Amino acid sequence: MTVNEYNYCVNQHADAVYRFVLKNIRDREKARDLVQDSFEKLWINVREVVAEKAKSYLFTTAYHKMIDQTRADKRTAAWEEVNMNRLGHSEHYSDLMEKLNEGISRLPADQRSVIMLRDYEGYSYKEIADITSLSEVQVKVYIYRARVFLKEYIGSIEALV
Amino acid sequence: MESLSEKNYEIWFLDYLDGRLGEAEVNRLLDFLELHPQLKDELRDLGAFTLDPGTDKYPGKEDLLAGPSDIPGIARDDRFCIARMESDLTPSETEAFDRRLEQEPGLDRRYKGFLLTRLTPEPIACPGKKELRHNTRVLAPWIITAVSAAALFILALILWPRPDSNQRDVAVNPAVPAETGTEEILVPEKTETEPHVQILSAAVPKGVSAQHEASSGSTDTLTRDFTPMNALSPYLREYEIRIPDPTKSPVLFAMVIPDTENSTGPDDEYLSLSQVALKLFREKILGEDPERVRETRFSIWEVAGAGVDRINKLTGSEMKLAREYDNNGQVMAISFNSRLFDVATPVRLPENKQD
Repeated sequence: MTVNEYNYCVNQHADAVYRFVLKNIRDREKARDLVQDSFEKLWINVREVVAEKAKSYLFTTAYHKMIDQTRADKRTAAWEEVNMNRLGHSEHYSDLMEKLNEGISRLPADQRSVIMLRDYEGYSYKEIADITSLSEVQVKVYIYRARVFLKEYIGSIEALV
Repeated sequence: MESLSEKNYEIWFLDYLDGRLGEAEVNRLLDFLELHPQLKDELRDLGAFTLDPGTDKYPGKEDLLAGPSDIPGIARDDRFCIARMESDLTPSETEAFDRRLEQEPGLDRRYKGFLLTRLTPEPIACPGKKELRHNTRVLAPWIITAVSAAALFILALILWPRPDSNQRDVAVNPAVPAETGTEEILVPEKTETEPHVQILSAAVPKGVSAQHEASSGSTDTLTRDFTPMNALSPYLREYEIRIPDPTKSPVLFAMVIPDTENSTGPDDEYLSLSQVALKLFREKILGEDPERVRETRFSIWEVAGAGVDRINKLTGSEMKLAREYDNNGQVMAISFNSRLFDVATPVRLPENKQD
């Protein structure tokens, strides 16, 4: 991968990786550090990583660094304790979005990660499995269970619409 | 099977109707009926109760088959809803499920509820994204080698003993072995007929200097005959090196190069090695008019500058080799700036400080 391709990755994927990490660990500074670490690792291996795999490489690195960080911190801060506005969300969320975000925060870490990779980045089961080192079946089961949980959490459609 | 009799014929009749009797047993049953014709009606009545399975098929059988995901704890309809939104269903399954959605409002509401669980990216920007970018190029091994070579070359230029143009007739050899020491020797003044030469270095044994100074008024000369050693040899052989009496100040080593600045130059057909180098340098590296080889001297700084420029072109780096001159046009200091190095060093002290 060339330097230009690396910088293209920064422009294209930095926000997505940051969003993915931030939503998981709910700490802006640590999320920023993890993103920097991920890109630093990509830069170190810039000659070995092909451009087509750079995004997956970044998410894989960020995911595992995030897991390591979470284990190191042993921190289980509740999402509801974090003011959404503090996370830089300038948009006003609808009731549904707020409810959905609350539901995401209550998901188990594995389910949260895979469903975000699925919905935010559009990764396939196989790609998510590669990133998270889970099996494809596990990824699928986590996504299905996460959807069931979120649907039950946000309530009936009649109550929302 | 027990023998057929009036006490157990019902069992035989049922087995017959179910097709469980063999051929021999069927023949025995038929013989039995011939002996007891009153039982034929009873057999006929038993057969009338046999149900015909028919060819009817269950319309929703496909839905009962193993679903797209067999996940414990998730209702079957939920699995189909999620599989539909995840595009996990086959085309036929999708078609069947869509038909069900049209027919079953409850299932349709359930499916729409799952659709609401799809996350949408939020406008979150990564802070400090500019810091993640890199503007430096990847240093390929050949680039590192080239830069290293250039650095060594520049370092050699800085450290290499240089002849002082103001002391053209005095040579100093700092590389003389310790046991011999280093002394300055006087070279006689040039004459009109003297060929233009520079003695870059020479060494005399230790202790000879005093004798030489005592007889410094001597103008004894010695013509040294050089043995041809390289391409310059034919050119050098024409020169005579005039030094003081060798019995008083024997010369152990002397390196002579032609003085191209004052020389009228060789014939048009022949160029010295240094002139060929200068010609090629101006023509190939600097892209200048090669005829200038006869006009100006070969400057080592031009070589260094051209080398740095070429490396800049190849690598996209921005190395700079700058020189500072004194009033006489002599290089006083050089500086080399790059991303990795920032070196500035004096080469020659100003004249008012040399004393």
